[in-house]
Amino acid sequence: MSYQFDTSYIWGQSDALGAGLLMTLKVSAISILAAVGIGILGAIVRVMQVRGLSAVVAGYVSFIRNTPLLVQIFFIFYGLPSVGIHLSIFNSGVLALVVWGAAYNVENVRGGLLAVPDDLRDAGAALGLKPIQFMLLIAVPLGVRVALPSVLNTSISILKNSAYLQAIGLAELTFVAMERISLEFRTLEMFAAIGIIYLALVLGLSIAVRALEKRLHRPFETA
Amino acid sequence: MTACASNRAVPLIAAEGLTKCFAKHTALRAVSLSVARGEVVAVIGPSGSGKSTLIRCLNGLLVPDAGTIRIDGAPVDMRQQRAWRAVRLRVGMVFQDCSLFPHLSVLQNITLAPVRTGRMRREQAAETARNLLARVQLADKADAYPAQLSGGQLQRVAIVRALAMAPEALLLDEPTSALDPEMIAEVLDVLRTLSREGMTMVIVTHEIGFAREAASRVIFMDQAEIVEQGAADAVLTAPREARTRTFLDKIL
Repeated sequence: MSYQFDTSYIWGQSDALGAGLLMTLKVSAISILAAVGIGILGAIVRVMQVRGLSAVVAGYVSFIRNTPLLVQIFFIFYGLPSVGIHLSIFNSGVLALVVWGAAYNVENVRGGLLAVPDDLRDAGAALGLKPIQFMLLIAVPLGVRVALPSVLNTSISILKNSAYLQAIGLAELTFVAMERISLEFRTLEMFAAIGIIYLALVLGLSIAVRALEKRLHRPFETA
Repeated sequence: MTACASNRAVPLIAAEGLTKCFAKHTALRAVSLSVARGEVVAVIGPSGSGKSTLIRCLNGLLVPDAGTIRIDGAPVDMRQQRAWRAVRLRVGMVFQDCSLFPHLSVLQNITLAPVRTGRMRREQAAETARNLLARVQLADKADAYPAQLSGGQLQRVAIVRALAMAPEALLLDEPTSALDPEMIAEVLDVLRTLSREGMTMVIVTHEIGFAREAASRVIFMDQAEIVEQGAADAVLTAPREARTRTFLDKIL
């Protein structure tokens, strides 16, 4: 039996796919930005060894990195209501991706902060800056530059992992595809279509971050 | 006006019995040092003799294990970071490798601390910075980034950065050691001018010629101790101690 790949079928689904794409973009963009912000805060807490908090952050990072994302998603969506925390599908999805991505970003940014030379710390101290001022004005701007490639990796993973949210019924790209397939069985067309869309999204994100990287590198160029 | 009326007889920096150990190694053994206002003290000695440890102990970048430090007569509570910060606002420092912040322009490097420590408002700090840059012939580099400057230019900016805090004294840790020979002169010129203007300085250096001409006092250190000190000419031309002679013979 031969399967007839029907390109026109995909174009016929552009409304549904467009809506899914929009949802994927929305949930990913919010999650990526929040995960970067929380990742930076967590890394500062770890590197400055804030008493009590540092251990909490370390435990959180370890817990998230050593459990499956799908379990975390289910925990938030199905588990939290039992203790009275009811979140919408969208909020559950964002929370899961943020909690997951931020854990990786804590480690990414921590690595960047540790790469900041001690000489600069001494220079900052000798100028009368407080440790927190040095951290925010010198270490974070330099450390985030170092961490950018690994932060990009994590951000790409957040975008791709947004597909998991179909499991709790968020109408993102993968959910839309599965739904259409269950109605019309154009399996190959649908998965090919969303595969290409995900590819384009990730490439676009990479290009954007490379441009940012180049912009941030400008002060370091000689003459 | 009380700050200006401070007693001239009281040394600006008075360190007594400073001791600093790293693991089993003693880097500084009960060293005492007193620096009067307007004095330029050159600290010389072989590498590993404790010179850098000594001046890093004076502003708390290294916290001494024992001893006392008085700034203008007032003892520093050496266990308190806050107390050290107060010292650093009065006593600036210049490092061997300039340590400019690479992501900030020359002007931003200079204005950062005066603004963030609440000394000056932004416009006032920028004006001060531009005036100081002009004095070291770098007025045109205000908007350049450190990566675009030569070693000598970087070090002059680092000196300006310290001066922008209007310090009462400067600590300089081998300010010319990392520079190419042709750039050493331009940095020493700036330091000479500062010394003429009466800036109090403690400078760790290998530039014996500079020490002879600009320092009011030379301290020779070896094996974590001050071996000999006195007027520059006396110590450098007619050292009393054999160790000082051996060292000077080696490097001259």
